[in-house]
Amino acid sequence: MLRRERALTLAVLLVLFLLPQCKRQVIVERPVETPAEELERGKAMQAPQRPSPSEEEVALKPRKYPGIEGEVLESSLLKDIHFEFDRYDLTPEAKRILAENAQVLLEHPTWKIQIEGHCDERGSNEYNLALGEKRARSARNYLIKLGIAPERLSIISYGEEMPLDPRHCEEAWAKNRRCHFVILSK
Amino acid sequence: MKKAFVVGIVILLVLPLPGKGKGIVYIDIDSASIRLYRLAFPPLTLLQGVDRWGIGKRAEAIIWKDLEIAHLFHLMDRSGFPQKGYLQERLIKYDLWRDRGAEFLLSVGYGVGGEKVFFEFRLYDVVRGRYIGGRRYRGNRKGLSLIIHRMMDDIVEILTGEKGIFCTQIAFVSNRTGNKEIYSMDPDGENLEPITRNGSINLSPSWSPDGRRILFTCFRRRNPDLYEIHLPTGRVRLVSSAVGLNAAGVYSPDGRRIALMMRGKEGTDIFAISPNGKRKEKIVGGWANEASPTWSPDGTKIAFVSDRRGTPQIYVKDLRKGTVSCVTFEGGYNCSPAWSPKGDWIAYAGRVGGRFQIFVVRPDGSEVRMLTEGDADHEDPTWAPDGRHIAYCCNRRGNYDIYIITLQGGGPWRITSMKGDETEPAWSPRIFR
Repeated sequence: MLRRERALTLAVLLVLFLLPQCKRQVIVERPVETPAEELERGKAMQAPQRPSPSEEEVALKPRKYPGIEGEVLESSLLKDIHFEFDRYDLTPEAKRILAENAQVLLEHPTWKIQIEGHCDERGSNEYNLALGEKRARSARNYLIKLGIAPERLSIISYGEEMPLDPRHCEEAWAKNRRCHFVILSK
Repeated sequence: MKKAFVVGIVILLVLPLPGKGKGIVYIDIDSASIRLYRLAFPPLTLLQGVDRWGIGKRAEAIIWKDLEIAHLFHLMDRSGFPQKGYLQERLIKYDLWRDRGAEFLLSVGYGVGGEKVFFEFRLYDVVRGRYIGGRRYRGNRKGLSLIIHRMMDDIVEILTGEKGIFCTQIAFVSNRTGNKEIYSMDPDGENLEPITRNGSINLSPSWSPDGRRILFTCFRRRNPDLYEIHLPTGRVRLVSSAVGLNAAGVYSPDGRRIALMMRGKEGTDIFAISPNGKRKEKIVGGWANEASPTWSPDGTKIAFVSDRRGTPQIYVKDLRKGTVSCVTFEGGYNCSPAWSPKGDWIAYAGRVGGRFQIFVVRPDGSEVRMLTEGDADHEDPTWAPDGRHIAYCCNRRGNYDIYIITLQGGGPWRITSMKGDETEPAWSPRIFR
């Protein structure tokens, strides 16, 4: 039974393979359906290089923090910046990222954002609350220097209370010493 | 939380027992070092009723643990104790106990009748051959640990002239539910109860001077706001909700002001507000960060953390003179100051070789002493009302637990054994209930 089916399949494939070689002028086939995403991609290719704001809203993800009222939006366009241990001054890398974030904010003039200052777990929770404030303040001041209106930029410190990586090692600590940027209203 | 207060009202009729001893301070707890007296503590004796709940066994375990934490005694090995049973004055044979090397003897008896229990103790000075004191306590068996704690505090008072520390509570933060909530417990871990259950981030508990309210910071409104919970009713009040930090709130000793961390013009500053949150006055501030205020017991000074010299260090502000002086000069990270209720020390956490240890220092910056050691972080010190015991959190077992030590080298005794991290302990004043 199985062998017969396999033989039949082989025969059909052989015929299919040989078909184009036949001297037929017209080959009739069933129409092939183009996948929807391919059509979309085609459209996007025709669109101008810079994506229009309406399309980008799709990239804004609502984010709910447990135990905190309301929601914020996160955009992959706004990148985190990182700090050294017990420091709140901006590294050259942080300044470069802030310049990019400023560009994004200039392109989306309606966005109001909140800059979250975060710390690693070392040191006292209370001092880290103050340190997180300073980090958020440093980022805010730099964005203002780059031309962003101060009233669009609020800050909050979460201290060491919201680690991105809960492990207790330098690799995790480096990730956790950060400013994170969320959108309060668009 | 309500429960403990209700139980507290019902229990405890304290009766002094007849006897002649009184008035001598046997142990000076304020001295820098302490000699532990050899205490004979024979097993509890059931004096009345039937103990079908194992009350005696549980009571004995609590008494034993509390006697250790009290850190006044060396508890003697019980094998070969010369006398059995509850030792009233007419029964005790001092010379037999003296031969065993005992200096003090504590005999405890108890009775059970329905839901009611009573405990009584007799304390003897074996060396001088005399009865020092004794009392009987009646209460509900559900409030067993409260009865024991009253008894322990009285025993300590008889010997030292000052009440013990067991009629107090330690509030702390635990993340065992997955978020940080505030809990409280007795100093030996008994009567553990949740204080907050809001699912948010709750931090920095601290007690009102009357021991009936706890201040804490919570992020519930997407801002670190200062709240106060009234323990007898469980009612929560929003105290301060300025944009930015409203953190590390601590009552002044007279209860008329709250010092806290708030957002200043350039950094985080220390402010004082009235308890209704209305009046606000800056205590210390500038371009630097200031954090973690703690009042001197007379209310005239505040110690705090500042990074004005580049790294976090402890400073003291004299509120009358307006002067600020530095207290810590060694180490690159000193934080979490706690002013002793006796006024003579400031405890803090300092970083040595990458690990935090608990230190004490005189308020003028002299006599720095490291009280903990080991390859672990020891943080967030808080003083018992006796100015002698210090609770802190430490991660020596992986997770953070709460531990207690004494200034004279007692402990560490681990008080919590929960799954999560227990941090930021805050020792209450003495609570009479």
